Amino acid sequence: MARFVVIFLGLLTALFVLELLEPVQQAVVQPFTGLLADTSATFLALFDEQVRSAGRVISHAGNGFAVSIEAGCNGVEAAIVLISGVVAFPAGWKQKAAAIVFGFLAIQVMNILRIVSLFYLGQWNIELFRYTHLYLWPVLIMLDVLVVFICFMRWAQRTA
Amino acid sequence: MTSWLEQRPATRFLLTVLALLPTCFVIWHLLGSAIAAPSVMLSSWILLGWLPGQVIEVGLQDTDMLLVSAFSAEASGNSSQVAPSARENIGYLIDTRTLSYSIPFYTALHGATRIQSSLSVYSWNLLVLWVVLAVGLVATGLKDVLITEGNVLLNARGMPPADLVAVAYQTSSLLAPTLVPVILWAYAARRSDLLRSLLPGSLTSKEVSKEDT
Repeated sequence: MARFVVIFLGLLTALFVLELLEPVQQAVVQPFTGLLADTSATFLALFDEQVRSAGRVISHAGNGFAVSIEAGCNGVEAAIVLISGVVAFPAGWKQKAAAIVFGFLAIQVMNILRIVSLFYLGQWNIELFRYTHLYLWPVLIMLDVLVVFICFMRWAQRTA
Repeated sequence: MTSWLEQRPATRFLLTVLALLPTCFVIWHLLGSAIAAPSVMLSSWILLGWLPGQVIEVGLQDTDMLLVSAFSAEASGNSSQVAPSARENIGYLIDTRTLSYSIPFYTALHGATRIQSSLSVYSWNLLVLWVVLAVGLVATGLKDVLITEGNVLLNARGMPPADLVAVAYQTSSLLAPTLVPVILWAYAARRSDLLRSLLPGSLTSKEVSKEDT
C-alpha cells in the first residue's frame, strides 16, 4: 500500500507542477484547450448554427453570450489524477495504457457534456450556471475519474 | 433488485453516491456560512499570526471570507476590490463555497459505503476537510493580496515566494476540493466489501491480517 501511495502522490505532484510550467501551457495545455473549445462548438453547432468558437472562447452570435474555457475547465487535472492512480496500481502495462487512453476519453466526453450544458445554462440562468460550474460539475468529473478507476481495478483483478 | 445490487458492490456504491449527492448539496447550501466557519476561524488565526503587519482582519461575510489587508486602496491605486465593510483598507472577498463543496462530496461518498465506526470516522475526516479548506482559503487570500500589492507583500517578513503561493493556490483550488474527499474516503473504506473486492492482495494483505488477528 505504501508503494502505491508514494508513486501516486509523487507522480501527481510531478505532473501537476509540469502542467503549470509556462512552456507546457503554451505547447500542450492551451492548444488542447482550444481543440476542446472547437470540438464543443462543433457539437453545439449541430443544434444551433449561431454558435462560434475562437481560441478558447465559445460564443453565441445571436445573444452575445460567451464562455471561455480556462485552467481547471479542460479536464487536464482530472486526467492527471487518473494517470497517477493507474500507473501506481499493480497491473500490467498494457492494461495501464488502455486504462489511461480510455479514461482520458471518458473524462473528455464528460467534459464536453459539461461545456455544452454550461453553455445552455448560462444563457438561461446565470446564477444556476455559476452554481453548476463552480460546485457541481467538478464533483461529477471526479466521480467520472473514480468510475473509470473502479472499472480498471475490476478489470485488473479479473485478469490477474 | 436488492440482492442483485448486494452482489455488485461497485454498482451499488455508484448509484448510492448519485442518489445522495443532490441531498448533500442541498444541505450544504442551506447550512450557508456555518459550513465554512471553522475553516475561516483557522485561516484567521493563521493569517493574523503569520502576517500581522499585512493582514488586519479575517472574518465571515455570508458565505464569503473577508480578508482586510493593511494596504489602502489609495496607495495601491486600485479600489476595485474594496469590500463593503472595509473603510480605507483593501478588502478581499473569497467565496468559501468554491472550496467547501468538498464536504458534501465526501459526505455522499462516505454515506454510500459501509464503514465501521462510521460516525467517528466521518467526524475525523470532516476535521481534515476543514483544515484543508483553511489552507486553501489562506492560499487564495495570499494570491489575491499578491495580485494587488505585488512586491510590497513579497518583501514582508515570512512571506513565501510568489511561485509557491501560485502553486499552493492552484493545488488548493484545482485539485484539493475533489481529490482530498476521494483520498479520505478510500482510506476510510479500505476494509469495506467494495474495496476488498477490487484491491489485489498486495494492497490489502497487511490490512486483512491485522483485522484477522
